[in-house]
Amino acid sequence: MANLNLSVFNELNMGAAQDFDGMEMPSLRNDFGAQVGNNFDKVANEINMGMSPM
Amino acid sequence: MTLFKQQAKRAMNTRGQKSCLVIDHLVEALGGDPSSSLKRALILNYIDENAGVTQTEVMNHIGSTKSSMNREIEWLFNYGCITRRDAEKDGRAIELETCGYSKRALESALDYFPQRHKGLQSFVNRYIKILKQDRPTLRDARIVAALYDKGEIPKSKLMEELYNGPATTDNRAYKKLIDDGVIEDG
Repeated sequence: MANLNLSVFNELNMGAAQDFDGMEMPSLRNDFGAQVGNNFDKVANEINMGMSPM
Repeated sequence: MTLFKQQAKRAMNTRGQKSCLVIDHLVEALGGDPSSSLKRALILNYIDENAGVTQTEVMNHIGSTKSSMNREIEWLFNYGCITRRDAEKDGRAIELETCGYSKRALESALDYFPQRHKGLQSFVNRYIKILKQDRPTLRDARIVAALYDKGEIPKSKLMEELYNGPATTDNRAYKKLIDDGVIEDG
């Protein structure tokens, strides 16, 4: 299975928010996110993108 | 394109889908060649934004050597992406403009960016930075954009997203991205 490096994913996601929507996107990642890793970041990004019901 | 259609185009796709579509439009604008460098896309974008710009001005803006820029401008001209004409004020200078299919395809890419050329420039520069290569191509960018859009997918599915080029070329690009730590294969 192929996957993006997490930091690349985050950089693309923040960049896409700026380029396509003209918005600054604060990162929701924190120490807890760093510990649990990938899943937290992906959920956080989904929330940022409005894809999650949370 | 009307403002309504432009807004609809922006609203109907996720950021990941937009990223893929923009790169597809850039491939189309550059003679359908996914091996085109991202730098070449930047050059085309700058010429489109500044119709009548001279080669020296493009070189100064993009930051390239004269011989490298000569090759890129020659390529763009030979593939029908730009026109060249003698400048009225200075007979030695050549003014450049985008044209034909290339201009139309680039316009399709620009529709996704509220800031138009500035947005596309920022987008392409971000991929150049992320890819960490001497000469990152649109193919490399498309692999990364597909993973950004789809998340974790089998390599075979990822390859299907590409441009029906030689499998060896796609595989080489994929392996290079793994070696560089841009993507993971587990």
